[in-house]
Amino acid sequence: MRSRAFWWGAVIAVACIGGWGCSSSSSTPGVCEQSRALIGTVVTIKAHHPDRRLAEEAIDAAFAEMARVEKICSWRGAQSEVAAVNAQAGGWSEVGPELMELVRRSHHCSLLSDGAFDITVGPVVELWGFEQGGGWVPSPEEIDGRLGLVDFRALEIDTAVGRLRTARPGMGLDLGGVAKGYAVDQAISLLRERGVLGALVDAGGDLRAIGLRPDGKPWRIGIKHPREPGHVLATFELADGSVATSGDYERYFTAGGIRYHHLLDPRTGMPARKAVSATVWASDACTADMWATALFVMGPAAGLGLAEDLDGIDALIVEAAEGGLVASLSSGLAGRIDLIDPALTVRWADAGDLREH
Amino acid sequence: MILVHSRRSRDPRGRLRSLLTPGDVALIIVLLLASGGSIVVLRAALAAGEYCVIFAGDEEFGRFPLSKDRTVHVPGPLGTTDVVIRQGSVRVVDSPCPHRVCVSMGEKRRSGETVACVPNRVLVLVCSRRGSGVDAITR
Amino acid sequence: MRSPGRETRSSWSTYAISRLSLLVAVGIALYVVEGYLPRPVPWIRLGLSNVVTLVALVGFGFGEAFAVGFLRVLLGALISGSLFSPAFLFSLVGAGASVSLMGLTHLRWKRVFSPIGISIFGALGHNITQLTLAYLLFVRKFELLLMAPFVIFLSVIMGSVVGVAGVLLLDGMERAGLRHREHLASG
Repeated sequence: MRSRAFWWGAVIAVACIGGWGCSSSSSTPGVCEQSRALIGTVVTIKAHHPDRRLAEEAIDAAFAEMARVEKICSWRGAQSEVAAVNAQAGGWSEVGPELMELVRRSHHCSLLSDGAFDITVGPVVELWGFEQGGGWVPSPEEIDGRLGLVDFRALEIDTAVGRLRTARPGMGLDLGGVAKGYAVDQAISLLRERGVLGALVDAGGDLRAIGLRPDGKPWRIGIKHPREPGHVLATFELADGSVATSGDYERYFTAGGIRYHHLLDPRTGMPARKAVSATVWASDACTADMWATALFVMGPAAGLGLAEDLDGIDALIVEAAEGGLVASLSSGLAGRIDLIDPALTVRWADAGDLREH
Repeated sequence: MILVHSRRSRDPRGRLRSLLTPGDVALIIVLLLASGGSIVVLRAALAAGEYCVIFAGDEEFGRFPLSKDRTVHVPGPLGTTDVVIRQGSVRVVDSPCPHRVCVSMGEKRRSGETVACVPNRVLVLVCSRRGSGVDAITR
Repeated sequence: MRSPGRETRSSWSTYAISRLSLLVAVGIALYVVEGYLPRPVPWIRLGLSNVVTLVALVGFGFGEAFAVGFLRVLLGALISGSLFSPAFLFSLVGAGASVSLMGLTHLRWKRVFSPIGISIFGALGHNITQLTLAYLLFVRKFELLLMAPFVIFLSVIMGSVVGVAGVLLLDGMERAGLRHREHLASG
């Protein structure tokens, strides 16, 4: 019967219009998007260009560049420059200009944060077994034994010759806190070279954006809620810039009812307890990545003051207090962030007082 | 043809019946069912609201979780609009506006729903914290 | 089937042109009058001017309906001063979808649906196309789809009102001697 076929046609047509609208709302149209497993996490690159093929080629090139960075920085890969330095602990080893620069920047961050960030933390992290996937609580003696090997001041840099030395045998570099950010920066500069109009690189939550989305709006970013999986704590817009977060929820194990996470305070060898997450805005991802780790370890009391003093850095540090989560924000974020968790207590760096919703 | 109908029928009711073919009636019924059905489907697709944002004029007045019962007094040019949050829903119980349309809008509990008192410039949005519309999440 | 409008075989006789002009004029008059009627929601129109498109389609065929619909939108936009604005784009796309869907229904299923049914299809095409366009061009929010049930419901109401008005007009035209070509009773 023709009329019955027509009814179905009409109903399906209506359903299709609705359904098609739904699916295209979930991701921005006109954007090429690819994901790959790289530098120990999942990297997603979104980019757009009037010529879709060029956008795809640019993304491929960006992934290749990130894989190259991984080759330099990986401390597991036996072939990496970092692995060569670690094998030579106690003696000088020649390194490329990129690793040199990364170490120099890390060193700078370590100095400013008074050791809250330290790329020589490797030996203690190893003790906790996070790299092996599980985890156990080492004895205080074991930790003390390894703490002697953690000291960024014992890292000697000879920029003139391009070589560096870890002063004591057993020391080791761990670029986990900077490599991801640096890889993101390299990917972005490659995408920019290739002429994409807008791009967003996401390496396991370390983000950097250039340009705008195809619809002419800035990229919209959410901050993961530290305690409610699947939810976001806040949203904000990112046009040209970078943001990274360190949180105690990413890699942890529970023993005796206590959560032990992988972000250790390099000075105590124990998981840092002053914050549950720290989000840092900076112009480049390497800086954002380093400072997210540093400010997480420092906590809001010391960390926010430092963030205020540093040029080009903004921070949101969340701590767990008696009455729930407390977010401390640097003054540069005023008007730029939408805190959507109504239960959150908000504290602004400039005001000093508590302004509750 | 069966479908031939007299447009000169004297009886208005008979006339209406002769105007509409069975196809028309079926079309109207199907569309009304589709309309009602899609309301049900779309409502189910909307996440339950978790909190509401209240605007007074152009300014955000505050954000309140729907999990905690309370009454919020929102100031506006005409006076105070009383918003009550109760058991996961939000509604306007009193407002100094002439027609009290906002009061008659009842309670809202799903993300995306709104209650507005236009004369008193009060807007209540029900939201959920699911990160929809976000390009990436920093973690 | 006799068709006074097609007595001369040339495509645009004086009779056809005056008839077209009359239909467009009535359509614009209805469009302007409707603008003065109170509306519950600003952008919702009853779409009374679609009556002439319906009459043109059922009375004189698809080509005429298309011409009436297009001219009505163009002149209506000129009068309201919204030519080439987004509102004009919306009207144009809506009217195009509406006429096409009505034409299709009339050509293929005129024995199944009366002009009221055809008109409901027209309203549905018009409204759903505009909602889709609004989604694509402006809002791009899932929440906009919440309008869909409302839009379907509204289409039934708008289409029925326009359809009944169209039938009455066709009746009147027939009695006045402006006999239309085929009005359901064909076959």
